[in-house]
Amino acid sequence: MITYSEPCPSYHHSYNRTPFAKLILAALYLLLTIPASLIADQGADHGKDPVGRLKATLYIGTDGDVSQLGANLSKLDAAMTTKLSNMAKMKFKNYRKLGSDTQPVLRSYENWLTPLNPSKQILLSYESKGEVCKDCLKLDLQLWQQNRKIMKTDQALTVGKPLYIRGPKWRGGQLIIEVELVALIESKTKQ
Amino acid sequence: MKEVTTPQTTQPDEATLTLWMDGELEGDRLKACEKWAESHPELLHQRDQLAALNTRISEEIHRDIEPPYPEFFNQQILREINRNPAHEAIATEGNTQQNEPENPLWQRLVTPAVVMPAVAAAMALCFILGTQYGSRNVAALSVAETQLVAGIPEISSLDSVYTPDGDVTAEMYHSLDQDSSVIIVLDGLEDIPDDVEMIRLNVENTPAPAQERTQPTLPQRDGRQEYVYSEPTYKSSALDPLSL
Repeated sequence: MITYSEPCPSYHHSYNRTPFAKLILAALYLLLTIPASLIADQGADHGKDPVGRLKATLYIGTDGDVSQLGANLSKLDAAMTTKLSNMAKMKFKNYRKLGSDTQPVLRSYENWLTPLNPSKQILLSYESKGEVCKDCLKLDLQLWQQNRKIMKTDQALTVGKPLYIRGPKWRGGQLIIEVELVALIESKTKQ
Repeated sequence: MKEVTTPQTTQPDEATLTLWMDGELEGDRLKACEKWAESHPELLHQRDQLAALNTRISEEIHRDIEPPYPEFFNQQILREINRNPAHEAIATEGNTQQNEPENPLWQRLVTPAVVMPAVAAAMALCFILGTQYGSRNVAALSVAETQLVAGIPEISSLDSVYTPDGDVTAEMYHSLDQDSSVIIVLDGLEDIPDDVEMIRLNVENTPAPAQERTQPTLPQRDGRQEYVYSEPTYKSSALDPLSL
Protein backbone atom coordinates (compact mmCIF):
# COMPACT_ATOMS: atom_id res chain seq x y z
CA MET A 1 0.00 0.00 0.00
CA ILE A 2 1.42 3.27 -1.01
CA THR A 3 0.94 6.16 1.27
CA TYR A 4 1.86 9.71 0.69
CA SER A 5 3.87 11.32 3.42
CA GLU A 6 3.36 14.77 4.66
CA PRO A 7 6.35 16.33 2.82
CA CYS A 8 4.26 15.96 -0.37
CA PRO A 9 0.92 17.46 0.60
CA SER A 10 0.12 18.67 -2.90
CA TYR A 11 0.33 15.19 -4.24
CA HIS A 12 -1.90 13.99 -1.51
CA HIS A 13 -4.45 16.70 -2.19
CA SER A 14 -4.48 16.11 -5.90
CA TYR A 15 -5.41 12.54 -5.36
CA ASN A 16 -8.47 13.69 -3.41
CA ARG A 17 -9.40 16.36 -6.00
CA THR A 18 -9.67 14.09 -8.96
CA PRO A 19 -13.45 14.52 -9.26
CA PHE A 20 -13.04 18.26 -8.99
CA ALA A 21 -10.35 18.25 -11.62
CA LYS A 22 -12.62 16.30 -13.88
CA LEU A 23 -15.27 18.91 -13.37
CA ILE A 24 -12.85 21.66 -14.31
CA LEU A 25 -11.76 19.80 -17.39
CA ALA A 26 -15.36 19.24 -18.41
CA ALA A 27 -16.11 22.92 -18.05
CA LEU A 28 -13.09 23.84 -20.13
CA TYR A 29 -14.18 21.39 -22.78
CA LEU A 30 -17.65 22.89 -22.97
CA LEU A 31 -16.19 26.34 -23.10
CA LEU A 32 -13.98 25.49 -26.02
CA THR A 33 -16.82 23.91 -27.92
CA ILE A 34 -19.11 26.94 -27.72
CA PRO A 35 -19.23 28.60 -31.15
CA ALA A 36 -17.18 31.71 -31.29
CA SER A 37 -20.08 33.63 -32.78
CA LEU A 38 -22.16 33.11 -29.67
CA ILE A 39 -19.43 34.50 -27.51
CA ALA A 40 -18.88 37.44 -29.81
CA ASP A 41 -22.64 37.94 -30.09
CA GLN A 42 -22.98 38.87 -26.47
CA GLY A 43 -23.36 42.60 -26.17
CA ALA A 44 -23.87 43.12 -29.90
CA ASP A 45 -26.47 45.69 -30.86
CA HIS A 46 -29.11 43.70 -32.72
CA GLY A 47 -31.00 46.89 -33.32
CA LYS A 48 -28.72 47.55 -36.26
CA ASP A 49 -29.45 44.21 -37.90
CA PRO A 50 -31.15 44.66 -41.26
CA VAL A 51 -34.61 43.17 -41.51
CA GLY A 52 -35.38 44.32 -45.04
CA ARG A 53 -34.62 46.74 -47.81
CA LEU A 54 -36.70 49.77 -48.67
CA LYS A 55 -36.63 51.71 -51.91
CA ALA A 56 -37.96 55.17 -52.63
CA THR A 57 -38.35 56.35 -56.20
CA LEU A 58 -39.31 59.86 -57.15
CA TYR A 59 -41.34 60.50 -60.29
CA ILE A 60 -42.87 63.63 -61.67
CA GLY A 61 -46.03 63.82 -63.71
CA THR A 62 -46.96 66.80 -65.82
CA ASP A 63 -49.47 67.79 -68.45
CA GLY A 64 -47.18 70.57 -69.65
CA ASP A 65 -43.91 70.75 -71.47
CA VAL A 66 -41.46 68.20 -70.11
CA SER A 67 -38.54 70.34 -71.19
CA GLN A 68 -39.34 72.68 -68.34
CA LEU A 69 -38.51 69.92 -65.91
CA GLY A 70 -34.91 69.81 -66.99
CA ALA A 71 -32.67 67.98 -69.35
CA ASN A 72 -31.71 64.34 -69.33
CA LEU A 73 -34.52 63.03 -67.18
CA SER A 74 -35.34 59.37 -67.52
CA LYS A 75 -38.54 58.34 -69.22
CA LEU A 76 -40.70 55.61 -67.74
CA ASP A 77 -41.48 52.35 -69.43
CA ALA A 78 -44.96 51.74 -70.76
CA ALA A 79 -46.00 49.51 -67.87
CA MET A 80 -45.07 52.05 -65.25
CA THR A 81 -46.69 54.86 -67.22
CA THR A 82 -49.92 52.89 -67.44
CA LYS A 83 -49.78 52.03 -63.76
CA LEU A 84 -49.36 55.64 -62.66
CA SER A 85 -51.94 57.00 -65.05
CA ASN A 86 -54.54 54.60 -63.64
CA MET A 87 -54.06 55.86 -60.10
CA ALA A 88 -56.37 58.32 -58.43
CA LYS A 89 -55.27 61.93 -58.97
CA MET A 90 -52.00 60.87 -60.58
CA LYS A 91 -53.01 60.84 -64.21
CA PHE A 92 -50.75 63.02 -66.37
CA LYS A 93 -49.69 63.15 -69.97
CA ASN A 94 -45.99 62.75 -69.26
CA TYR A 95 -43.95 61.15 -66.55
CA ARG A 96 -40.26 61.33 -65.75
CA LYS A 97 -38.07 59.71 -63.16
CA LEU A 98 -36.18 62.07 -60.89
CA GLY A 99 -34.26 59.74 -58.63
CA SER A 100 -34.29 56.78 -56.30
CA ASP A 101 -32.62 55.48 -53.20
CA THR A 102 -32.47 52.06 -51.53
CA GLN A 103 -31.55 51.58 -47.92
CA PRO A 104 -31.77 48.76 -45.38
CA VAL A 105 -34.58 48.61 -42.86
CA LEU A 106 -32.98 48.22 -39.47
CA ARG A 107 -34.50 46.27 -36.65
CA SER A 108 -34.89 49.10 -34.17
CA TYR A 109 -33.14 52.09 -35.63
CA GLU A 110 -34.47 54.83 -37.77
CA ASN A 111 -33.04 55.24 -41.22
CA TRP A 112 -33.39 57.72 -44.06
CA LEU A 113 -34.09 57.59 -47.77
CA THR A 114 -32.83 60.43 -49.95
CA PRO A 115 -34.10 59.87 -53.48
CA LEU A 116 -32.79 63.27 -54.56
CA ASN A 117 -29.48 62.92 -52.82
CA PRO A 118 -27.84 65.24 -51.88
CA SER A 119 -30.90 67.47 -52.13
CA LYS A 120 -33.03 67.56 -49.01
CA GLN A 121 -36.22 68.63 -50.77
CA ILE A 122 -37.81 65.21 -50.35
CA LEU A 123 -36.72 62.90 -47.56
CA LEU A 124 -38.22 59.82 -46.02
CA SER A 125 -37.48 58.56 -42.55
CA TYR A 126 -38.63 55.16 -41.45
CA GLU A 127 -38.37 52.71 -38.60
CA SER A 128 -39.48 49.12 -38.45
CA LYS A 129 -42.42 48.28 -36.24
CA GLY A 130 -42.02 44.56 -36.62
CA GLU A 131 -43.17 42.00 -39.11
CA VAL A 132 -46.93 41.68 -39.22
CA CYS A 133 -47.24 38.91 -41.78
CA LYS A 134 -45.06 36.68 -43.87
CA ASP A 135 -44.17 39.14 -46.61
CA CYS A 136 -45.02 42.47 -45.07
CA LEU A 137 -43.54 44.86 -42.59
CA LYS A 138 -45.12 47.62 -40.62
CA LEU A 139 -43.17 50.82 -40.80
CA ASP A 140 -43.33 54.15 -39.11
CA LEU A 141 -42.85 56.13 -42.32
CA GLN A 142 -42.46 59.89 -42.36
CA LEU A 143 -42.24 62.17 -45.37
CA TRP A 144 -40.19 65.33 -45.05
CA GLN A 145 -40.08 68.39 -47.27
CA GLN A 146 -36.87 70.19 -46.44
CA ASN A 147 -36.94 70.45 -42.66
CA ARG A 148 -40.68 70.01 -42.26
CA LYS A 149 -42.45 66.76 -41.58
CA ILE A 150 -45.43 66.76 -43.90
CA MET A 151 -46.82 63.29 -43.44
CA LYS A 152 -46.61 60.32 -41.12
CA THR A 153 -48.07 56.91 -41.73
CA ASP A 154 -47.79 53.46 -40.22
CA GLN A 155 -48.89 51.51 -43.25
CA ALA A 156 -47.77 47.92 -43.51
CA LEU A 157 -45.81 47.43 -46.70
CA THR A 158 -45.90 44.15 -48.59
CA VAL A 159 -42.94 42.96 -50.62
CA GLY A 160 -43.48 43.96 -54.22
CA LYS A 161 -46.49 46.20 -53.51
CA PRO A 162 -45.34 49.78 -53.37
CA LEU A 163 -47.01 52.64 -51.59
CA TYR A 164 -47.56 55.78 -53.65
CA ILE A 165 -47.64 59.29 -52.28
CA ARG A 166 -48.61 62.34 -54.29
CA GLY A 167 -46.27 65.03 -53.11
CA PRO A 168 -45.74 68.71 -53.80
CA LYS A 169 -45.68 70.47 -57.13
CA TRP A 170 -42.57 71.55 -58.95
CA ARG A 171 -42.22 73.35 -62.27
CA GLY A 172 -45.81 72.68 -63.21
CA GLY A 173 -45.58 68.99 -62.43
CA GLN A 174 -46.59 66.81 -59.50
CA LEU A 175 -44.08 64.78 -57.56
CA ILE A 176 -44.99 61.15 -56.99
CA ILE A 177 -43.10 59.18 -54.39
CA GLU A 178 -43.05 55.43 -54.66
CA VAL A 179 -42.04 53.54 -51.52
CA GLU A 180 -41.44 49.85 -52.00
CA LEU A 181 -40.42 47.12 -49.59
CA VAL A 182 -37.94 45.38 -51.84
CA ALA A 183 -37.18 42.40 -49.63
CA LEU A 184 -37.41 41.04 -46.13
CA ILE A 185 -34.32 39.61 -44.53
CA GLU A 186 -34.58 36.67 -42.17
CA SER A 187 -32.50 37.23 -39.13
CA LYS A 188 -31.11 34.70 -36.72
CA THR A 189 -32.40 36.49 -33.68
CA LYS A 190 -36.05 37.50 -33.64
CA GLN A 191 -37.25 40.76 -32.19
CA MET B 1 -80.18 88.79 -7.44
CA LYS B 2 -80.20 85.03 -7.46
CA GLU B 3 -80.78 83.48 -10.82
CA VAL B 4 -83.82 81.25 -10.88
CA THR B 5 -83.78 78.35 -13.24
CA THR B 6 -86.91 76.61 -14.28
CA PRO B 7 -86.83 72.88 -13.65
CA GLN B 8 -86.25 71.22 -16.94
CA THR B 9 -89.06 68.81 -17.64
CA THR B 10 -88.52 68.86 -21.35
CA GLN B 11 -85.56 67.23 -23.04
CA PRO B 12 -82.25 69.04 -22.57
CA ASP B 13 -80.36 70.33 -25.55
CA GLU B 14 -77.53 68.40 -27.07
CA ALA B 15 -74.79 70.36 -25.35
CA THR B 16 -76.37 69.90 -21.94
CA LEU B 17 -76.91 66.23 -22.56
CA THR B 18 -73.29 65.83 -23.60
CA LEU B 19 -72.08 67.53 -20.44
CA TRP B 20 -74.38 65.33 -18.41
CA MET B 21 -72.98 62.22 -20.06
CA ASP B 22 -69.45 63.41 -19.30
CA GLY B 23 -70.36 64.07 -15.67
CA GLU B 24 -69.57 67.76 -15.99
CA LEU B 25 -72.94 69.22 -15.16
CA GLU B 26 -73.42 70.89 -11.80
CA GLY B 27 -76.08 72.52 -9.71
CA ASP B 28 -79.58 73.07 -10.94
CA ARG B 29 -78.80 72.01 -14.48
CA LEU B 30 -77.61 68.65 -13.17
CA LYS B 31 -80.71 68.20 -11.07
CA ALA B 32 -82.98 69.09 -13.97
CA CYS B 33 -81.19 66.74 -16.29
CA GLU B 34 -81.25 63.93 -13.74
CA LYS B 35 -84.98 64.43 -13.29
CA TRP B 36 -85.54 64.23 -17.02
CA ALA B 37 -83.31 61.17 -17.32
CA GLU B 38 -85.38 59.29 -14.74
CA SER B 39 -87.84 58.57 -17.50
CA HIS B 40 -85.01 57.31 -19.70
CA PRO B 41 -83.30 54.51 -17.78
CA GLU B 42 -81.31 53.48 -20.83
CA LEU B 43 -79.53 56.85 -20.72
CA LEU B 44 -78.77 56.40 -17.06
CA HIS B 45 -77.31 53.02 -17.78
CA GLN B 46 -75.12 54.35 -20.59
CA ARG B 47 -74.01 57.25 -18.45
CA ASP B 48 -72.97 54.87 -15.73
CA GLN B 49 -71.08 52.75 -18.24
CA LEU B 50 -69.19 55.77 -19.51
CA ALA B 51 -68.39 56.85 -15.98
CA ALA B 52 -67.02 53.39 -15.20
CA LEU B 53 -64.96 53.47 -18.37
CA ASN B 54 -63.54 56.89 -17.59
CA THR B 55 -62.65 55.72 -14.12
CA ARG B 56 -60.89 52.70 -15.53
CA ILE B 57 -59.00 54.86 -18.02
CA SER B 58 -57.90 57.28 -15.34
CA GLU B 59 -56.68 54.38 -13.22
CA GLU B 60 -54.64 52.94 -16.04
CA ILE B 61 -53.18 56.11 -17.44
CA HIS B 62 -51.89 58.89 -15.26
CA ARG B 63 -52.96 62.37 -16.27
CA ASP B 64 -49.35 63.41 -16.69
CA ILE B 65 -48.72 60.74 -19.29
CA GLU B 66 -49.50 61.81 -22.80
CA PRO B 67 -49.99 59.30 -25.57
CA PRO B 68 -47.36 59.35 -28.27
CA TYR B 69 -48.18 61.78 -31.04
CA PRO B 70 -51.04 63.46 -29.14
CA GLU B 71 -51.96 65.63 -32.12
CA PHE B 72 -52.45 62.50 -34.23
CA PHE B 73 -54.50 60.95 -31.44
CA ASN B 74 -56.80 63.96 -31.16
CA GLN B 75 -57.09 64.32 -34.89
CA GLN B 76 -58.26 60.73 -35.23
CA ILE B 77 -60.89 61.25 -32.51
CA LEU B 78 -62.26 64.34 -34.21
CA ARG B 79 -62.19 62.68 -37.60
CA GLU B 80 -64.13 59.70 -36.33
CA ILE B 81 -66.67 61.92 -34.62
CA ASN B 82 -67.21 63.92 -37.78
CA ARG B 83 -67.53 60.79 -39.84
CA ASN B 84 -70.13 59.19 -37.62
CA PRO B 85 -73.10 58.70 -39.93
CA ALA B 86 -75.63 59.14 -37.11
CA HIS B 87 -74.14 62.51 -36.27
CA GLU B 88 -74.26 63.62 -39.91
CA ALA B 89 -77.83 62.42 -40.26
CA ILE B 90 -78.91 64.41 -37.24
CA ALA B 91 -77.14 67.50 -38.52
CA THR B 92 -78.87 67.41 -41.88
CA GLU B 93 -82.35 66.70 -40.59
CA GLY B 94 -82.82 70.14 -39.11
CA ASN B 95 -85.17 71.31 -36.42
CA THR B 96 -88.36 70.61 -38.31
CA GLN B 97 -88.09 66.92 -37.87
CA GLN B 98 -87.95 67.22 -34.12
CA ASN B 99 -91.67 67.87 -34.18
CA GLU B 100 -92.44 64.87 -36.30
CA PRO B 101 -89.69 62.35 -35.71
CA GLU B 102 -89.62 59.10 -37.51
CA ASN B 103 -87.58 57.52 -34.72
CA PRO B 104 -88.18 57.90 -31.00
CA LEU B 105 -86.94 61.21 -29.73
CA TRP B 106 -84.58 59.72 -27.20
CA GLN B 107 -82.83 57.83 -29.99
CA ARG B 108 -82.19 60.95 -32.03
CA LEU B 109 -81.00 62.94 -29.06
CA VAL B 110 -78.99 60.18 -27.50
CA THR B 111 -77.02 59.26 -30.58
CA PRO B 112 -74.87 62.36 -31.01
CA ALA B 113 -74.57 62.99 -27.28
CA VAL B 114 -73.57 59.45 -26.47
CA VAL B 115 -71.53 58.52 -29.48
CA MET B 116 -69.10 61.44 -29.29
CA PRO B 117 -67.91 60.83 -25.74
CA ALA B 118 -68.16 57.12 -26.35
CA VAL B 119 -65.89 57.38 -29.36
CA ALA B 120 -63.36 59.40 -27.41
CA ALA B 121 -63.50 57.02 -24.48
CA ALA B 122 -63.29 53.99 -26.74
CA MET B 123 -60.25 55.29 -28.55
CA ALA B 124 -58.62 56.03 -25.23
CA LEU B 125 -59.46 52.50 -24.15
CA CYS B 126 -57.95 51.09 -27.31
CA PHE B 127 -54.85 53.13 -26.58
CA ILE B 128 -54.68 51.48 -23.18
CA LEU B 129 -55.07 48.09 -24.74
CA GLY B 130 -52.34 48.88 -27.20
CA THR B 131 -49.92 49.93 -24.50
CA GLN B 132 -50.74 46.99 -22.33
CA TYR B 133 -50.94 44.30 -24.98
CA GLY B 134 -50.27 40.96 -23.43
CA SER B 135 -50.68 42.31 -19.94
CA ARG B 136 -53.06 40.76 -17.49
CA ASN B 137 -54.85 44.12 -17.35
CA VAL B 138 -56.26 43.45 -20.81
CA ALA B 139 -57.98 40.31 -19.59
CA ALA B 140 -59.38 42.21 -16.65
CA LEU B 141 -61.69 44.34 -18.83
CA SER B 142 -65.25 43.84 -17.85
CA VAL B 143 -67.83 42.52 -20.27
CA ALA B 144 -69.68 45.82 -20.09
CA GLU B 145 -66.60 47.73 -21.19
CA THR B 146 -66.00 45.46 -24.14
CA GLN B 147 -69.63 45.72 -25.16
CA LEU B 148 -69.41 49.48 -24.99
CA VAL B 149 -66.63 49.58 -27.54
CA ALA B 150 -68.06 46.83 -29.70
CA GLY B 151 -69.86 49.30 -31.89
CA ILE B 152 -66.80 51.46 -32.48
CA PRO B 153 -64.64 50.75 -35.53
CA GLU B 154 -61.38 49.07 -34.68
CA ILE B 155 -58.30 51.19 -34.60
CA SER B 156 -56.80 49.10 -37.36
CA SER B 157 -59.53 50.16 -39.77
CA LEU B 158 -59.06 53.87 -39.12
CA ASP B 159 -56.90 56.00 -41.37
CA SER B 160 -53.23 55.67 -40.48
CA VAL B 161 -52.03 58.85 -42.15
CA TYR B 162 -51.25 61.91 -40.11
CA THR B 163 -50.36 65.36 -41.37
CA PRO B 164 -48.88 67.66 -38.71
CA ASP B 165 -49.54 70.76 -40.79
CA GLY B 166 -53.15 71.79 -40.47
CA ASP B 167 -53.16 73.12 -44.04
CA VAL B 168 -52.24 69.73 -45.46
CA THR B 169 -54.88 67.07 -45.89
CA ALA B 170 -54.41 63.43 -46.76
CA GLU B 171 -56.68 60.99 -48.53
CA MET B 172 -56.13 57.32 -49.05
CA TYR B 173 -57.16 55.21 -52.01
CA HIS B 174 -56.46 51.82 -53.47
CA SER B 175 -55.36 51.39 -57.04
CA LEU B 176 -57.70 49.53 -59.34
CA ASP B 177 -55.08 47.14 -60.69
CA GLN B 178 -54.44 43.69 -59.31
CA ASP B 179 -51.80 44.99 -56.90
CA SER B 180 -54.37 47.20 -55.14
CA SER B 181 -51.58 49.52 -54.10
CA VAL B 182 -52.20 52.09 -51.41
CA ILE B 183 -52.22 55.66 -52.68
CA ILE B 184 -51.90 58.65 -50.39
CA VAL B 185 -52.84 61.98 -51.91
CA LEU B 186 -51.55 65.04 -50.06
CA ASP B 187 -53.22 68.38 -50.72
CA GLY B 188 -52.10 71.78 -49.50
CA LEU B 189 -48.38 71.16 -49.70
CA GLU B 190 -46.04 74.05 -50.36
CA ASP B 191 -44.74 74.04 -53.92
CA ILE B 192 -41.06 73.49 -54.46
CA PRO B 193 -39.65 76.66 -56.03
CA ASP B 194 -39.09 76.35 -59.76
CA ASP B 195 -35.54 77.66 -59.54
CA VAL B 196 -34.50 74.76 -57.34
CA GLU B 197 -32.56 72.19 -59.33
CA MET B 198 -33.40 68.61 -58.45
CA ILE B 199 -30.43 66.30 -58.34
CA ARG B 200 -31.12 63.10 -60.18
CA LEU B 201 -29.63 59.91 -58.89
CA ASN B 202 -31.00 56.50 -59.68
CA VAL B 203 -28.27 54.18 -58.62
CA GLU B 204 -28.12 52.43 -55.27
CA ASN B 205 -26.40 54.35 -52.57
CA THR B 206 -24.07 52.63 -50.16
CA PRO B 207 -25.88 51.67 -46.97
CA ALA B 208 -26.04 54.55 -44.56
CA PRO B 209 -24.89 53.91 -41.01
CA ALA B 210 -27.58 53.41 -38.42
CA GLN B 211 -28.40 56.54 -36.53
CA GLU B 212 -30.45 57.59 -33.60
CA ARG B 213 -33.66 59.48 -34.21
CA THR B 214 -32.47 62.93 -35.25
CA GLN B 215 -33.69 65.75 -37.38
CA PRO B 216 -32.26 65.90 -40.89
CA THR B 217 -29.40 68.33 -41.19
CA LEU B 218 -29.98 71.00 -43.75
CA PRO B 219 -27.32 71.90 -46.24
CA GLN B 220 -26.00 75.42 -46.25
CA ARG B 221 -27.69 77.24 -49.04
CA ASP B 222 -26.75 80.40 -50.79
CA GLY B 223 -29.87 82.02 -52.19
CA ARG B 224 -32.59 79.89 -53.70
CA GLN B 225 -30.52 77.66 -55.92
CA GLU B 226 -29.48 74.58 -54.09
CA TYR B 227 -27.34 72.46 -56.27
CA VAL B 228 -26.16 72.11 -59.83
CA TYR B 229 -26.11 68.67 -61.39
CA SER B 230 -22.65 67.18 -61.48
CA GLU B 231 -21.21 63.82 -62.32
CA PRO B 232 -21.22 61.42 -59.39
CA THR B 233 -17.81 60.95 -57.84
CA TYR B 234 -18.27 57.31 -56.90
CA LYS B 235 -18.08 54.21 -59.02
CA SER B 236 -21.10 52.05 -59.50
CA SER B 237 -21.89 49.04 -61.58
CA ALA B 238 -25.46 50.21 -62.20
CA LEU B 239 -26.55 51.52 -65.56
CA ASP B 240 -25.79 55.09 -66.43
CA PRO B 241 -29.00 56.94 -65.55
CA LEU B 242 -28.65 59.07 -68.64
CA SER B 243 -29.00 56.06 -70.85
CA LEU B 244 -32.49 55.10 -69.64
